[in-house]
Amino acid sequence: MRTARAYFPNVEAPVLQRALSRLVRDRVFPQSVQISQASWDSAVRARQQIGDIRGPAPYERSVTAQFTHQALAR
Amino acid sequence: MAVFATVVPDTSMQPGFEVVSYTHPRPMTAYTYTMLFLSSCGLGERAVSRHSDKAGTELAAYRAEHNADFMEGVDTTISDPGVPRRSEVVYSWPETLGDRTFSGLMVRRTTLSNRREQISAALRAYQRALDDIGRLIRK
Repeated sequence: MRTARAYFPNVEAPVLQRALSRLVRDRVFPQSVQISQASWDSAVRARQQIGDIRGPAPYERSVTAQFTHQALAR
Repeated sequence: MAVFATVVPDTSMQPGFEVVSYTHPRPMTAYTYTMLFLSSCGLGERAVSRHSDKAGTELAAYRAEHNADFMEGVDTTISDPGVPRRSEVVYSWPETLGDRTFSGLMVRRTTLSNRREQISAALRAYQRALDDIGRLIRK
């Protein structure tokens, strides 16, 4: 709540509290820095559908996991 | 006329369109997801008059003006009581989309080779923040 208040000083505390509850309930916060292929492909499909991305954007060429294992291990 | 907004609509707009959409410029995320939402409603490009405006005018201004029929956004403060009085959340992106990447740490390929420790440090910092959030949620 303290952090949320700092970012949104003009929003009333009860509204912020409920907003945070909603974010938690909807599982908006990821648990780790890992980007799954499914979540990547899903995002790319959306951009392709709208025309923001015209060509392919394959996971294996765009995302690397070589650093995430290390970050998760600590 | 129905007005969809992710930014504050121009109050001087003239009637005559079936649907008017006010959103951030392409390729901002708000634009993409507004278009996806309208498309999922069966509103193709021809059915919608699209207007773009700068970012950062979302919820607070909407609450003050309240001159749109629907508002779509990924603003943190969109929650049931966070939207204007007499409004309610009727659509949830997380429920609709499931697991989806919205952002990531982007680096140049040369940086991948030359600044490995900085990248690792940044990721560790992100992971620690996510761990902290997880702990707060479980409390």
